[in-house]
Amino acid sequence: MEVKIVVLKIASRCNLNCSYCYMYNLGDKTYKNQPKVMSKETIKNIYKRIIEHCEEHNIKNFGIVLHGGEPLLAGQKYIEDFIAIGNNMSEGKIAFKYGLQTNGILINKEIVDSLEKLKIHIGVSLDGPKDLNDKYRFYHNGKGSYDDVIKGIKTLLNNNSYRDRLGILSVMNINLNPIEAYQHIKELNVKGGDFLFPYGTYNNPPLGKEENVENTYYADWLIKIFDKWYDENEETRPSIRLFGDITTSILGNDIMADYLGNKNNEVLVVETDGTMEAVDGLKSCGNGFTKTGANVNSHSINQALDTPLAKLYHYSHKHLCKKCKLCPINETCGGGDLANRYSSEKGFDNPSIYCSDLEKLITHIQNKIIDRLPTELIEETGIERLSVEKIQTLRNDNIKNDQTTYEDELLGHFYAK
Amino acid sequence: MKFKFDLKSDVKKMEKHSDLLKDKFLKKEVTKTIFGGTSNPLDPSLDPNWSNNWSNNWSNLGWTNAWRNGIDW
Repeated sequence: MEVKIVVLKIASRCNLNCSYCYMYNLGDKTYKNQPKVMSKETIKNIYKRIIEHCEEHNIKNFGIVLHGGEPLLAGQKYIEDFIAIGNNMSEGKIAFKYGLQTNGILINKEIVDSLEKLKIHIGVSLDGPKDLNDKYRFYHNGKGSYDDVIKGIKTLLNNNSYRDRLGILSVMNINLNPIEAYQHIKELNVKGGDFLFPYGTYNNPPLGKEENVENTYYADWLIKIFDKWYDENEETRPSIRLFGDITTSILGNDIMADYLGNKNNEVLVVETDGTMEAVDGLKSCGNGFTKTGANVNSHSINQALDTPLAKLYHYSHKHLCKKCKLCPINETCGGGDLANRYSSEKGFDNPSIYCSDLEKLITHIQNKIIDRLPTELIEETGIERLSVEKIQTLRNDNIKNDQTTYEDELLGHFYAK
Repeated sequence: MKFKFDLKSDVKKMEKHSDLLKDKFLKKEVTKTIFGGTSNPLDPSLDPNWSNNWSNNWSNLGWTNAWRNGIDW
């Protein structure tokens, strides 16, 4: 098992207290035991482990995402020192590519100039127009964050490098008019954005999935955006990652993303105290759920990966429940995000709570792509137009005719004992 | 049911018909597909992201956004 990206929780606290945050507000309280920022010793040990792992697996390019909490709480000098340590220790043998995911509040010109010099790609989290954003993304005293985030985004956009690179991440809120959500990203004049499915499980479902998970509120929401986006000028509209990913997959490419696709998730999270764990979104499955006991101070990356949860996350698009295993579009949806499959009764041996949404969205995008591809190409390659009914019929037939008893040790590991 | 392209058998067919593509977004994506990820088929070494896989993970969007738009530092 290889890891090509680490997500580092360089600061364990956040200056915001967003209602849906999986770090603090979805049941996991382990952040309370974490130091506020990562120590210098831990940083050195992280680089030592990364370099060791890269040498062992002959990896030349490695991604490091500075994350939190709010990573900028660590301070500008801290980040500069952080990267200098990596450069010194790797001695040019590994090309590190850095990213930073921030709420944007602490951004100012000096920080932007520093991050630009360090060539750090930046993503900012924002959930749409002020009234909606401030309902969910607020300070610890309840004050909305929108105005301060916008100030940060504007400062970033005043910088030539970030004008072309900045991306906005928004957690979907189906109560908001989707076109308004899209227009909001567009009006910020950023080149790219994405809409994330809210984290949630069968035990703790997100908005709209409380009564049943078969509805397609999220797909319907996204499809409205897709149709508008798809008809706009490609040169002036922002790129939307989810739409790009599904398109890329339909065109036959392999996609590495934890929310869909067919490749392994070559990602590991390192907590502020140096403990290593599978992706942090799995914190939404319960208190301490992601804890492995492995720490960069005493364990290698390989050792950290040698736990059921880390393995299951790494191969999450291969370890699927029977329904997904026998579904004709599983190479594109990949069973969805692992966290969204969780129930305390059957662990991860379930379809995603967003299964119906993914089915409908993928079908819609595939149809729209086919509409704009040359007829000759469609005929020669024998690509068939998807429909939700066709997918369901095929899947049901496959299930009816399949007599195999699937025994998946990793999926079984998380069943209620 | 074949609902997506298969690179092993379909790349040549995609190449053959790519000139007929009018949609710029699809044209760019198809071109990248044909040329194994590069947006600069004439000289892939000029595409800074060429050596990368179709690696889109993770939640840091700045990074993947740059990749999608074919730019680096």
